[in-house]
Amino acid sequence: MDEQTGIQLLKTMVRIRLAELQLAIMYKNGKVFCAAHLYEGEEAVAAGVCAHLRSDDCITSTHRGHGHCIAKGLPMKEMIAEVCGRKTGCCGGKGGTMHLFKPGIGVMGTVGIVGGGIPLATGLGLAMQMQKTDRVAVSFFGDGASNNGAFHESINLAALWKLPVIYVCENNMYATSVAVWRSTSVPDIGVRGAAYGIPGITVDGNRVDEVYEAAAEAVARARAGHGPTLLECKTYRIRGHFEGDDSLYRTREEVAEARTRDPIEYWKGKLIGDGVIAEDDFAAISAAAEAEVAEAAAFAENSPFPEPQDALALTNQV
Amino acid sequence: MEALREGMRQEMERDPSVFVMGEGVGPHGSCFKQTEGFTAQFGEDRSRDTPISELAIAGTAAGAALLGMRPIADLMWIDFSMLAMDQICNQAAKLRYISNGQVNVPVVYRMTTGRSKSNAAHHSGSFYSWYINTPGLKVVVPSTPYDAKGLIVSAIRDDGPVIYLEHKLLLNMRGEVPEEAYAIPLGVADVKREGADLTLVATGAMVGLSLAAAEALSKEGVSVEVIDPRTLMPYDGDAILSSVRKTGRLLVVDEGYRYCGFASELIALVAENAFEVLRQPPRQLTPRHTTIPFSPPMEEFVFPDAARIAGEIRAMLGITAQGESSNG
Amino acid sequence: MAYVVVMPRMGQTMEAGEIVEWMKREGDAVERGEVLLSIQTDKSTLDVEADCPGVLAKILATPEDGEIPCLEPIGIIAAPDETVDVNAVLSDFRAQRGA
Repeated sequence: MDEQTGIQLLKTMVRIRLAELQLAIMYKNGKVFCAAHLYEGEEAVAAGVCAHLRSDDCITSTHRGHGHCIAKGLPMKEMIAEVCGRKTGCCGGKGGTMHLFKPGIGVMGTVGIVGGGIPLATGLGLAMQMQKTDRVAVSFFGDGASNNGAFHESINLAALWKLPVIYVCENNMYATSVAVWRSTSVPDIGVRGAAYGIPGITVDGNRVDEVYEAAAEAVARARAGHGPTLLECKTYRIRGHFEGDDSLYRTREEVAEARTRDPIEYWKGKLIGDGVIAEDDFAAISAAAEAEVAEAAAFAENSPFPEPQDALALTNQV
Repeated sequence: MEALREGMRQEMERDPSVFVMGEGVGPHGSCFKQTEGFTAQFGEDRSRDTPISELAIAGTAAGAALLGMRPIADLMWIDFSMLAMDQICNQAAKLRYISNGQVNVPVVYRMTTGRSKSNAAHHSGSFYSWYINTPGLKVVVPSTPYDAKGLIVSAIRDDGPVIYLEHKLLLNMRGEVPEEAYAIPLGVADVKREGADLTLVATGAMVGLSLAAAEALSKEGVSVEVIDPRTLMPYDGDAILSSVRKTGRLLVVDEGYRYCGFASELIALVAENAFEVLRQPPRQLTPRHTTIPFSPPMEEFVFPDAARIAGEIRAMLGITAQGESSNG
Repeated sequence: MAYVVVMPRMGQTMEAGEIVEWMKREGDAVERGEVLLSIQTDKSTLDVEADCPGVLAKILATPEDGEIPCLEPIGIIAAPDETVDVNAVLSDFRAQRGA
């Protein structure tokens, strides 16, 4: 990885982090009124994978999808406005936090049903293959979805047809309130790739360099027509399942320990240690992201709500 | 069924983005031979066999449609489509809406519907009211070969997800079908028989039975108008209302269950919009509310047949049956 | 610029909360993300973090106040050298929220 890429990864992670913290503040102050599932602590996965994607490559994502969309290039203004239900949001307020779209840059939907995006990404891959392109599709999903039929049916199909799809399992240790060890038959979800005859890789999802290297191989393989990869990135969901979740299913000590493995701190330390950036550079990156987030939040708050009757557009009426 | 096949074939010849996928649609040519010869003509790429993974079939088809393909996904039986419910009702149906129109989902989900002979609890369903009840889906059920071809062509050309239902008892029905491609617009009903005394709206296999009942009653001096909506969502309310305004009576015969069903929907439509013209309460005739049993006498008892339909019409018109009475 | 701390809405069903304890006193410096106080909701006890850095200039509500509706002001964070006119800050806050 070259230095510029390293810096870019750091910027992406910081932008995601600050956007999420801003949404958390907006939530508790009543400005974000929906259930908000935030991505703090998992930024390295979105950043490391999306760094390999072109704008004509596509992703599907989950209820915890803000980070993937930012990493894929969704303008922060359009995202926060959508989360705030405004007309200027990327879906005009029809989608909201769990349904973000921007097809022009390959954001083909975040999905509110666990596992729901996996078959869709498989279909995107099918179209890419049938249209004889070298585009690839990425499906982001969690450890919970890997116990869902959609995961198994889709990966079997993609393996069978050698579809250009990368299945990125973001194992953040919790499926809503249920710990992965209470719900999942194997310690490493990556091994499930073997069941379908495809590479299944497990990496430390808090280390963006590890994610980046593994994704490089998976994307190259898909582009070359060699088929799908299952990439498990082990990370940790720092916040509750949703804002306001009391997290009684885990200890404060566990969360505090996880915070010591913060992906941004890790990568920042690495880049500073390697002499790629200095503390000042990091401060500048943070300040730029802070300004972008503040501008996006102000844009959202100052944007109009949609007209009530817009609710009926795009649906057949008898 | 040949009409359906011909409609699909002509659309696949016309538009390279159209393809079929599903369990057995390849060399086998599908469960009822709906895609016979497609593999030879179009190759395995466009006549794509799949594992028995209904959820993945439905979702993969929707995903491919997002990038401009026009998949025809065969889920075989409507009963099996329940395994694909999330991808059909939560994803395909909603993607255009939640994206604010940024994507279209031009996919056709084909599935057989309705009773056959002793197909019992898992192969006789008519659960299409579930799909009618999902905003974003269109639902089509032809009752003749002519309609089967014209409606599949429109379903394929439509930009939204369309549920295309094939009634199992109609797959071998014969009828006039033009050779050239033609499209029957979605949302337009067809008056299958004109009449003055009563409007009978029927769907799928109930159309033929209703026409038989209407024919029998014409000998008793009763004139029944039979309307086939053909598209169950969005349905042609105007055609039904204008017929009821003419006859003043409504009977709906449908193979879906009555509670929150398509028949009760049409009765609500008429009650809300044309109550003043009704000469008597509207009626619906549907299968009895039970799991579809296996044994022939029980199965026959559950479903409407021509005699029960005729009996219902006589009861509404207050006329006595000639010969044996048949009461529903 | 003075920042109004409100009884946070921590969950879709939460309508009010009670203050259990302020971890900071008036005049204490606070970092963004530092725990300011703990609150009791109908479901559980939660920590409330500071949204911005500064000084806890004013505590407006205490455990004695009992249930406080969500989004009602409970404190003010200001810059270290800022003089805070509580009434002016609160009327600005209400005016802005009404808009």
